[in-house]
Amino acid sequence: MTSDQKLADVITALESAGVHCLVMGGHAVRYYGLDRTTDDFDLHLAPDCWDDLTVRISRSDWFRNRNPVEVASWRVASFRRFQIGTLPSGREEWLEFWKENHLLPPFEDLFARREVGPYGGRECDFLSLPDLIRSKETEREKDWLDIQYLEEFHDARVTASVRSGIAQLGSALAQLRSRRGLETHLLARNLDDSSTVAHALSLATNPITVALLLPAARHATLPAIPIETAIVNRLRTLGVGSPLHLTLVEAVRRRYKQDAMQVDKADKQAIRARTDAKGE
Amino acid sequence: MTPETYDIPGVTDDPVLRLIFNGEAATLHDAEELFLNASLADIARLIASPMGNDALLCHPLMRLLASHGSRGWEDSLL
Repeated sequence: MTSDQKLADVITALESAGVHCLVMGGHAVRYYGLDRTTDDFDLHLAPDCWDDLTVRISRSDWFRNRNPVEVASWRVASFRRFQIGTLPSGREEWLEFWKENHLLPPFEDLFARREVGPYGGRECDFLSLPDLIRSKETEREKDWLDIQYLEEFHDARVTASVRSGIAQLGSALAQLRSRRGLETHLLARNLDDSSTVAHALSLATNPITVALLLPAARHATLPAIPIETAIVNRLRTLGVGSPLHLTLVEAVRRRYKQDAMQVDKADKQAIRARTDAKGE
Repeated sequence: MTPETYDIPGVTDDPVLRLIFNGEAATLHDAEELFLNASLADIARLIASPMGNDALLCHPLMRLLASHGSRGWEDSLL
């Protein structure tokens, strides 16, 4: 049985037990196109399934046969994990549930923009690709390796939706995150109209997007986004796609990553401090 | 003389190589990543300086930053 089929079995078993969730983590990364190894099952749970999760799971034959063992989580109020087996390699196999993830909006919002797609022989509900990228902005370096690829996949999907007439160019550009995406738009001459780019910049929510687009609309008014003024001023003097433009994008990207890692780390430290204080 | 006291100009005084000698990085790539992360304030200062765009692009720190940047079209998975 493949890892994908096993995930599909887990979802089917959870549904039979009345547990509703969205797939996130490594299986969602695989669904969106990056073929990497993953053994754990990371799920975002509907909040109303949280309190009696153990009871619900025990209703399912699939889980009863595996004797899931819940192991204490340090995010007691928002994260639960069950060991459901041991892999041939000797590694433990985990089923993990988020009730609320500190990097993501509430489940209702995530569910409303979920993506349903084939995986392991059935249809599964996944976090949307932008939400998956956001969920990976953690202090773990390996999550950022996933992000590198997921941003390219997202840009390629959005660009394809523009080509097929499903999406407007302005809203597509407003989500741009990768150098490859930028180069795709340059080749298609999608950045030639500075008013379209300026409109995209007004919609942008990420400093990397601003850094990618600004040289194509140098006089654009920017939304309130954290990006250093000196970089903005320099970007307004550069040719789009020039070597210095691409280098400044990397400066912004590196700062964005460093800030996100620090935020995630601070969140973990705060939880641990509260836990330690309660234990004293 | 122990290895710790060797002083080889251009090697032991190189801030990136020093990260390897000190055991803070296992590879040159890792050392350069650490160095760049620790140099973001210096990079910001360079960008804010009156240096022209051509000179800025040729600065060693900016060249290192560019060399650790994102994949372009030709290197992408897609």
